[in-house]
Amino acid sequence: MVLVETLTPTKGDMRNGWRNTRLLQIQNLSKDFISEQGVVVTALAPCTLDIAENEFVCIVGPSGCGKSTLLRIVSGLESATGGRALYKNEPISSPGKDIGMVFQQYSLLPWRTVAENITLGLEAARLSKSVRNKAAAEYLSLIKMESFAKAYPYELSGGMQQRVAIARALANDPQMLLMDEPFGALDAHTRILMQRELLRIWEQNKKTIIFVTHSVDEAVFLADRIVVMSARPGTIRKIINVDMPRPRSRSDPRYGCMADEILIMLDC
Amino acid sequence: MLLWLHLAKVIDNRLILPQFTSVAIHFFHPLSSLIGLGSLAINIFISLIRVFIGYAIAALLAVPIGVLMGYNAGAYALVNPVLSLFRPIPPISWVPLVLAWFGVTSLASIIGLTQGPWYVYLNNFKVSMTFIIFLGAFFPIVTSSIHGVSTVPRQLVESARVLGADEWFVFRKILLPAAGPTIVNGLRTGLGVAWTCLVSAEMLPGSLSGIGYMIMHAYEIARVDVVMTGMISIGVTGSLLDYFFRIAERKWFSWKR
Repeated sequence: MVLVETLTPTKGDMRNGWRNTRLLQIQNLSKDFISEQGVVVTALAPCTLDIAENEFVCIVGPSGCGKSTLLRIVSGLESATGGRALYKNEPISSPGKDIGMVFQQYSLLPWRTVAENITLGLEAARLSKSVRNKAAAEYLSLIKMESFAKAYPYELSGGMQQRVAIARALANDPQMLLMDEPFGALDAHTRILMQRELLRIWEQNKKTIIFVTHSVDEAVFLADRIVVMSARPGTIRKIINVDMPRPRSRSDPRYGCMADEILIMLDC
Repeated sequence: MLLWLHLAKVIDNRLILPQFTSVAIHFFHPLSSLIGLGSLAINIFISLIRVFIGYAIAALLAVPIGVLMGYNAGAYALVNPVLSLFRPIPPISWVPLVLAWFGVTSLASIIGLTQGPWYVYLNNFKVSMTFIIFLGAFFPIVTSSIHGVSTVPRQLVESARVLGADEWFVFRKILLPAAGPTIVNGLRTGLGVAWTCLVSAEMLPGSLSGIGYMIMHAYEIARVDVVMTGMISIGVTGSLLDYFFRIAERKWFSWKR
């Protein structure tokens, strides 16, 4: 079952005034690939979804539901076999500065310091050293890691590495940030700290975020909207608006109800 | 060493196992002439220069070829069949062919020298021997360069691409540095192989100097002490070369854990 979401203004819209309600349009997007045995496998069945500017959308689903595939197509790293993804009404064909991405882990360049990793995108854009240094200082302070500018990735904990990966993506000033289970490899406590940290950064920057996770709790804590996906075939099962104010409390009864509702949906 | 001291005394035959001191003494006089072939130091030096010439050519060709093959599947498909055919051939087995091709052509004859002190010096560096060293060093370097580039984690490349990096940037700033440790490891292996090949090549006809030749000549005149001196020199020099490489590796790739 595919639900086509019609966008209605939310409280956020009123606060921010006008915004682009269709920054990203995913239209019947699907992905098939041919396995080594020559069998056609559907990684992603046709999906349709619109994402608005400044929105924080979480995609949850069991493994193999195609949520990462969906994200990779939107990033431009993979191409779809059916349907299309439009960013600002233009088809996405290759990765670009406007859409950033944070991977699950091990994406920092191990031979570069934290500061050099953060400014990688600016270097790729051939920006001057002074611009890069300024950006490094700014984003190091955003992630509260000023004293780690000259540290190497192997000297950092997993949580710190992910903060640097987020800073690297943000330093490139993308309008949209894709996050592929960015906290999936962290321990439970670090994960909760990172979620708060991400919300704080998001409040400051107001990027559009699409966040893939298999943790229902994480999705309810973070998202404006939750896209629930099912496996086999991997497709969108339901889209849920989370209209609880932030910061959200995990002891809030509504929090538990929503998490339960999603878990039940994932079970069947 | 104690075992050597003891056995030499028991055997008491300098043709089978010379006294420890008779070998050791050569190392205390590295600059005095040995069996009419020049000093130990000069023979090691000649061998080293030979290695570096052949090795430098091998490195300059193998690294770019390997990197290209690791980067581009088409280049790999095109060149790999040829490489895998030549790779199993021991460099030493090329010697007869190489001698037929290049004969006694040396650096001196290439630049047209026929006499003078430079001739004597440059004539030591034969094209044939350089070619053997080249072959020995080439394959380990090319193989590890291919491997280094083709096994760069996809995530590193993708994380640069999603920042908007172009292909050239990814190649220079992601692929090359990431493959660096593997390539340098191949360079290190290649140098070791080159050194071994050289010494073997020097033992074959057509050579008139170098540490390998010194060993063969000493054997012919039954100077086992000089043979052993040569062997120890080869071992020490080879392991020193390797040691310097390891230090450089540790310094350049401290991020590699």
